[in-house]
Amino acid sequence: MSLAKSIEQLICEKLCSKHGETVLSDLDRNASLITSGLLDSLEFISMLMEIENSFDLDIDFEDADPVQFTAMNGLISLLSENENA
Amino acid sequence: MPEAVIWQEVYNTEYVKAPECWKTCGGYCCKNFYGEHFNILDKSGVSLPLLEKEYEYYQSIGGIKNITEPAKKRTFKLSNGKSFSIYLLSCNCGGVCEPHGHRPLICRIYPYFPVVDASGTVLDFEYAALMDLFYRDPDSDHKCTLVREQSKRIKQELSISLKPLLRDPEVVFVFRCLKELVDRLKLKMNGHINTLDETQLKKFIAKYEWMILSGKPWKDAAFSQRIDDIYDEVKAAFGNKDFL
Repeated sequence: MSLAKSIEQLICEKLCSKHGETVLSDLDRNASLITSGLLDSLEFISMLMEIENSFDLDIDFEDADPVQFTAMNGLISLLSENENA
Repeated sequence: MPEAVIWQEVYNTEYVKAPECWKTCGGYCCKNFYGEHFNILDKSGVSLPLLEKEYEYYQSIGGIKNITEPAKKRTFKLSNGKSFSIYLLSCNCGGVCEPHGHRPLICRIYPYFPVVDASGTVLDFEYAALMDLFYRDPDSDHKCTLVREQSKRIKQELSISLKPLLRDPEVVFVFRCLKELVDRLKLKMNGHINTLDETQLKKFIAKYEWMILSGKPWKDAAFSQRIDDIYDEVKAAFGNKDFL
């Protein structure tokens, strides 16, 4: 499985465990997971740390656009950039 | 000699005497004035950290009625096997917390926290709210009237009123760690919010949010070692007895 797919799966699992599986059918993948109320800030960061540990990544969003990295598609795209390079 | 904090006394102490100062600043200390730029952190809420024993006391007296979100517990592990926890309250009261007498210590000592040595002697003061660390020339530009106009008096009074609290090694340890933490953050951020245009401010705050939430500025061996050293120094200063 590609890194992007694996990350997507992990995010979906997080969202489903909190909101149930129906959350995925209405999910706007380009909207912020935080402002849409799906995760709070600490849950979001915990999820990033879990991604970091699970896939041995060093996530650094110091100069990244939060509008991008808080949305599911933007986050997956940023995290799998190196793999695709 | 070490003395555990009596939180009931802390909650009965008026550390900063400035009645109705909020009328001069719109309640700056209780609002998230830069929240409109936040993408991850709560746009309107203010995060209030409470020590574990403080939180127990706060809970025992019923807390603040209009803070309804449950506190979030964060536990920090030292490399020497010790650990301590803080509880984060997300406050949206905007200065009208009910009852006001139940507000946490961090609100009571605003705008400062004490910079202390290992024995709890106050050496200086640092800004209690993280965003306040990033003002250039804070004594003249700060949004808090007390910082601009009464800092000398406030610091003198805090130096005296905080003494009982600083007989508890855990409190001393936490204030010392907090100083290390803010020094690292200042180094990483390297900027002043009151010198930035709108675009720069957005970028600055995005970076700030990432730093705070990811904990990246503090995730290295040197910082861990420094925290271990602080523990050992405070322990030695308080009779070599473990306090965590």
